[in-house]
Amino acid sequence: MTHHDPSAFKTSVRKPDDFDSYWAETLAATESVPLNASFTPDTMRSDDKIEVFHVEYDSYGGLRIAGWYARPRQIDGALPGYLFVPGYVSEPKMPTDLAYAGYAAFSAAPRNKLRSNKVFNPGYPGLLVHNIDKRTEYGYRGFYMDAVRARDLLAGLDEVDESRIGVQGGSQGGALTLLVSALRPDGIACASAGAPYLCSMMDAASLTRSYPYEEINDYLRMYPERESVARETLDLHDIHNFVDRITCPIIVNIGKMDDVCPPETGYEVYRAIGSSDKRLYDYDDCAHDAGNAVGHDAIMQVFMASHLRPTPIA
Amino acid sequence: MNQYWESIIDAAKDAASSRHAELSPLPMRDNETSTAYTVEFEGYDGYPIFAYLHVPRSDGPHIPLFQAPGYGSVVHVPAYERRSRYVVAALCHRGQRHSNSQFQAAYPGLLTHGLDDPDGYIWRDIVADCITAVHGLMRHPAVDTSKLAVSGGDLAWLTAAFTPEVKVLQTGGLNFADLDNRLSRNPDYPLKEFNDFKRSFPDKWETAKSTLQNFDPLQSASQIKAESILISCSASEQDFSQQLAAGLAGDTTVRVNSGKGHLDHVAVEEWLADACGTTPGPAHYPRS
Repeated sequence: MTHHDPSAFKTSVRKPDDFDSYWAETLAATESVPLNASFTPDTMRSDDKIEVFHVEYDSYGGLRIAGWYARPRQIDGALPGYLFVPGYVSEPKMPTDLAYAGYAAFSAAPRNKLRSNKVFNPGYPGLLVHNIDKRTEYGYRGFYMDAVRARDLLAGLDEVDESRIGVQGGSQGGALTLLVSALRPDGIACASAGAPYLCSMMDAASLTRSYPYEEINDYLRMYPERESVARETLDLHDIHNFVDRITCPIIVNIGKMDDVCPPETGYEVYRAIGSSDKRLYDYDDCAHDAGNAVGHDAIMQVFMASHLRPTPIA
Repeated sequence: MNQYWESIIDAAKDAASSRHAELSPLPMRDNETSTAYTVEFEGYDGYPIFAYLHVPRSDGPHIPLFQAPGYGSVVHVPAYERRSRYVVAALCHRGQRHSNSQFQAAYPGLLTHGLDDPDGYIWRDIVADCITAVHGLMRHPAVDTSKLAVSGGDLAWLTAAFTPEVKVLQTGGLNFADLDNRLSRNPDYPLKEFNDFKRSFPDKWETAKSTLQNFDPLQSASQIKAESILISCSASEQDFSQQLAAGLAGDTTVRVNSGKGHLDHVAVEEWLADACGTTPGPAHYPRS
């Protein structure tokens, strides 16, 4: 039997020469759009201790993006902010548990998610390869900005302590956690990325037959002549190329038998993270759960609370 | 079968043969072991429904496997390892993506949609969509009709309860199970939807509880004659799982997951293959 050592893997991702300028332009274009946020109370999800709001804001390209915002009703001083970023197919969580834990919690629904898909809706499967043959029109360009914009929205709220904002998510949420931490290095106090997706994407497609990466295999089987341009597009958007900018304390967890986001790509992106305060948790016999059910969920909660110092609702 | 279900289940079965259905190739999702199709069909009331269908390239007949949809807007393309062994149908029930032209499900929200009206509760129609789909699957010429298998949560359970042809059932994560007890423990979503409903509409809760009894797996357990595996995600669920298992009419295995996803996945796929008289398909990862 072949020895399986995913930690020995080396990525084939290359950082394009125009990577920094491309993302500087994309951020500038995003920031030129007024946020124009609206908050609509959701009485059915609120109770006597917490308030929930359906939120909308404008993002890259002028698209209207949705999210859930939940906070304690009783606010004594500024609250720590908690940005939750969602997985690929799952709907954003309703963050009432985080409000009970004492956070001003925002759960983002980037474009293509329900409530944010009136204009942009490539669906699932679909998003991963949407415009993959058009280097600067790839679907994730705006999607990434929707997540960064969610952090900016949270930071701008009166009740939020801008110096205590954390970001957390798993899978695609793990990727977005790394992205937001990288693009807002002075605006994130701590981060927890689980089973990060969108890292070493072309390699990942060669390592597994599970969706979503199987979308790339499906696409290249149909259009083999587009492999070169697809690789160029993915290199320009690969999370691996962002993470050297991360400076905040960060933890990463991976499953050593993850068929969805192969651990090879997780080890590599972890090694590339710029922060000196980082820790990897790799779990034997775990897949895309990445250890959450065998203790990591508690580790993550303690880590976030130790940096953000919330006061839970009694 | 009680009065709540009888007429709609009959209509749903009938729809599989009497309503329009169209099978179309989906070459983007073909692979070396299977051919992919989309199926667009009408539910019992004419509602337009979508499903993925994957047929092994090898000589048949093959075991039909109905993947009942889970709780969420997206239904996955069936897994690589299953596509080489089974004729797999993955349904998108009304409200989910691809089946949302007339009704778009909300999350949270779907679990209590129409709950104040027993006949208007959306899950009754969703169960009917499953029944139509599974009977449609049985009409495909590549399937071995003697070995129908079903996998999934509540919808797999209820499909098996209302479809005597189901011979193998792989199930777990039942939202409608042990509700009184679980709702009293302040659960997170999706179950929290019920407590939100109760808090928002206290005058409608008794009617809602009465409706929900029709979805309680204990009520339908004795109708399930399939060989079954009932998967618990934690030891705390085990007592209720044993109670459910005792009510099932067929041979039943209760499995408590280890929490290590790879080990749990392999064990359950091996059980499914063994119960169906086949072997597990090639692994997704690492690629052989």
